Amino acid sequence: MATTKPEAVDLDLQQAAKVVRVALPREVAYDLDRFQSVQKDILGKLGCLACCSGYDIRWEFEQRFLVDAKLNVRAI
Amino acid sequence: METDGLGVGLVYWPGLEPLLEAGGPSLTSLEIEVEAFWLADPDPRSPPRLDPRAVQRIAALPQAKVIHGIGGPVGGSRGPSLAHLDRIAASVRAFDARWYSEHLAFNGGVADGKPVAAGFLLPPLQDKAGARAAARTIRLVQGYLGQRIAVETGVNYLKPRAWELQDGAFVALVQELADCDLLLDLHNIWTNARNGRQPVADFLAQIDLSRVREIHLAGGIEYRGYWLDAHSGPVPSPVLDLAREVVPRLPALGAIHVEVLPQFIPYLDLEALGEQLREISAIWDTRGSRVAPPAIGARAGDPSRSAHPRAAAPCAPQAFEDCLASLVAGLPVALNSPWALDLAQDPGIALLTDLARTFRAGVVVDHLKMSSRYLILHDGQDAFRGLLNDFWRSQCPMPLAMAEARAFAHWLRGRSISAPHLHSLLDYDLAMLGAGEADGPQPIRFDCEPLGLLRALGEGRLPEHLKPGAFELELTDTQARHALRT
Repeated sequence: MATTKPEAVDLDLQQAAKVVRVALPREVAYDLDRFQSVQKDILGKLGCLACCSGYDIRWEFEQRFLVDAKLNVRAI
Repeated sequence: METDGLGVGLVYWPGLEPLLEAGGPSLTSLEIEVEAFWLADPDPRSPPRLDPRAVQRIAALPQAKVIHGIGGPVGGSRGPSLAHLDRIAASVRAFDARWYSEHLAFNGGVADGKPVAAGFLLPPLQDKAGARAAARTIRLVQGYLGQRIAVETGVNYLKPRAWELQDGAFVALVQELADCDLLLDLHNIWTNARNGRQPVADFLAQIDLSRVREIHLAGGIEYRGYWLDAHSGPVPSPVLDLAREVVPRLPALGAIHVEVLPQFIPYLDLEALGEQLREISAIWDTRGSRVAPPAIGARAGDPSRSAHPRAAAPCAPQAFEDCLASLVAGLPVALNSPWALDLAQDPGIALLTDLARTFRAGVVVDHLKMSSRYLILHDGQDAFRGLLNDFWRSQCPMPLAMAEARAFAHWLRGRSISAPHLHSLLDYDLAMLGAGEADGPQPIRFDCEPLGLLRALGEGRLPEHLKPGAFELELTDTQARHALRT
């Protein structure tokens, strides 16, 4: 049994006998992602239709981010 | 009917706040792509609902609002559902919107008796039967909503065909038959001309300028030999010149909206864009200052002028829509007629398929961020792209991005993928979207210390060492105040 400080993300976890429960505030969870091209407070729940009229850049940006992160060069 | 001009504004997305700031007081109107704020219910059987937080936040912005749809296009023989229109009507009320606009396009069809979603706005059959079908749809929508709507001139990546009405003549005929207003997208018609369709001047000579309620301006990019309506940044100079030329000729213009997607904001010169928005404000001030008197013996926008009065396609609108939607969705199509074969061989089909799939890939990496990033880092981009291709072959696009993400997650769970943390990360991503269990948030089980895993993926890398064990992660909506029991 273990108790965590819910407001802290970087927890010094004690090894539990069974299950360790961790609280992660959503605001902190959004900040874990180093590549956010837009603010996520609403977009995290954006329900936009799966329909498009132009060119969606999200896939390309994500690929570039991962390549850059691995090669340790500048992001985008 | 709104008669006062609203001025210049943006098509609003969360994340455009820096551009709103750059535009300053010159921005007096916002166009809301409202389906972006319809949330999928965790229960897939329930209809989406308008996000009350978004309404509260957007309604508080000082600009006037209009509503723009993308998910219920009105240019085909099958219109949006009544449930969809009910949500549109509720959204108009919620945002106190001055008017509602939709696309002169369609986005799906039927194959083997089942609905097919193309995932992309597609050009309608451009002959008289197609115009009648679109007008019938628009009239039904207007009748149900009890108001005139503005119909947007679309982009068309297909090559022009001999049996087609010219682009402007088709729009003019729809305007006349439907008695609707027009959302004139100058970047779209410039894009069409640049890609080999009708010259802009001819298009403008054929449509009824007195019905133009709204203008869209945008930027684009070159891609696979086409110019794309990508909403990617500044308005090209020739499109601004077009606005300077046409705005004074528009007696009923109510607003000019600039389309920029928020994903591009970090890479744009906001100061230059702000300056461009002020230029557009100066163009707005010239609206209606040079309206030509109606020509004697001819109506403005008479579709018979410079058109093909006997234009008739070798197929009916529904057959065309079913064929094009299936081709773009990548479904097998029986090409047993010359027109279907001709359509399948159009180089624009490959582009449309690519764009629709790129959009679906964007939905996945944006909504299932940690899961997809983990799979890409674990197995490589080619393997992940292979998974996407297999998924796309098995399922058409879903009507909501959140539903698409949930469908891909469900599909992934049914595969034998050797990636130990995948199921936990799928649970995490869905919980972040609020698209997890229908009966409320559930703890997410990990067999390693979860924060180390999430932090590493957030930095775009796989974790090096993770403490093994039984962990349960609970997402909390605010800075957690309550102690957790273990």
